[in-house]
Amino acid sequence: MWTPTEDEKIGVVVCSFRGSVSLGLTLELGETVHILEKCEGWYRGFSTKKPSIKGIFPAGYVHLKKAVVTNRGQYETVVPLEDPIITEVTSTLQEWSVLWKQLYVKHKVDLFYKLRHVMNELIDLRRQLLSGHLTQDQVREVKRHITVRLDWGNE
Amino acid sequence: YLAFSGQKLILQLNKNPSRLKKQAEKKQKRYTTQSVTLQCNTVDSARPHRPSPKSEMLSQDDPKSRPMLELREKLQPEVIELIKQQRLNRMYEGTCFRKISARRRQDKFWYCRLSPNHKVLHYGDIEEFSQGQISPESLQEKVTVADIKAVVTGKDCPHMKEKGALKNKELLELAFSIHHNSDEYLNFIAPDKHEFCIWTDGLNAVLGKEMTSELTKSDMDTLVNMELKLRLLDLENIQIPDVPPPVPKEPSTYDFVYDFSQQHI
Repeated sequence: MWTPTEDEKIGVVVCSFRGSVSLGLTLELGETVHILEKCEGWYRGFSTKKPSIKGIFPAGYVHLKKAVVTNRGQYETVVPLEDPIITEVTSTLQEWSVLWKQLYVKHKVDLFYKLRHVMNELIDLRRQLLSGHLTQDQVREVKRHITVRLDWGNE
Repeated sequence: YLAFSGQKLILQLNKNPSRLKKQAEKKQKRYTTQSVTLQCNTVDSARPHRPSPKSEMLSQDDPKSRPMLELREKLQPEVIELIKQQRLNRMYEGTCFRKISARRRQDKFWYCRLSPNHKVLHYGDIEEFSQGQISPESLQEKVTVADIKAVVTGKDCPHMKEKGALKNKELLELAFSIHHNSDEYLNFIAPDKHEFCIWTDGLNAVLGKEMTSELTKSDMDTLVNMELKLRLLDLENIQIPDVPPPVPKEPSTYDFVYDFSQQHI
């Protein structure tokens, strides 16, 4: 029988799932899912990209991440447990990516390459933060660099 | 005048220090980023050395792994669409071309641009080289896209084949022609390789054909690589299986805990 999940709340898709079962949810590598309930090796939930579509997918196709749950139940909110700066960098990069592609289509060459450069630097800095190999001082340094670049981009 | 130039000197002296300071800060920033990376490596080597056999390598670090190749393939069609849009936009802005002839002393110029609905190519002679756009009204001639039979390049072009035509390796690489109606040709010499790629790609695109230039390949790499990195952001440090994990038997029940059927989102 289906039971609500306690600790299994957020997952990242590690293998694309074609959804080839009844009520299956199609999932792409790298997508984030919110998990509501589970049963016999399956999860039921939705992709953060399309929250209104609920479906089932194999538990083995997602990697679980720590989360903070509020208002448990049908209308719960789930937030990944991570340094807020990581969350900010990730969402900023996704926003800028839309802009970046527009710059390409409109042939704004200079800005296109500049933005690409900054985006790559941010991806790298974020990776350094997530590596868990930095000392406190290094973490502060990296965060400072990140802020500088986020400010640049927002201008 | 002396007084004025004296003031100017002072102003410049005041400017420079801050600019130098900014440049120094910039340099420092770059070095700091590098030194953070270096320090990371040092910290790493301070840990007990762990060899990383191929089996421990993360799939996302290996561009040839199956999931990576699959994702790349998945991303390509959208990227091709972007490239196509860009090429068409460029053709809509238009380009100034040169009519090169051994017989003439001075080169003549002409302008060609695609109509907004992508159905007509407007072109015409212009007095002098123009960087900016020329409006279609001032371009006298046109070719209807539907009448285009083929696009040829290099030595297959009539203006490269005719006797006495200026031919050198450079020109051959920039030459392309539009074969339209049954027997007419519109001959082009692109100002540079970049424009050559833009126009041959763009023309192939309006004709529903594949864009095959080096520029398309390079743009494709640039765009797909970034998209790939963004897709994999949340998979940092996470192992991606090389082959799909087994799919369990379908659940014995679909009697879910939560019912969302009342939602209107």
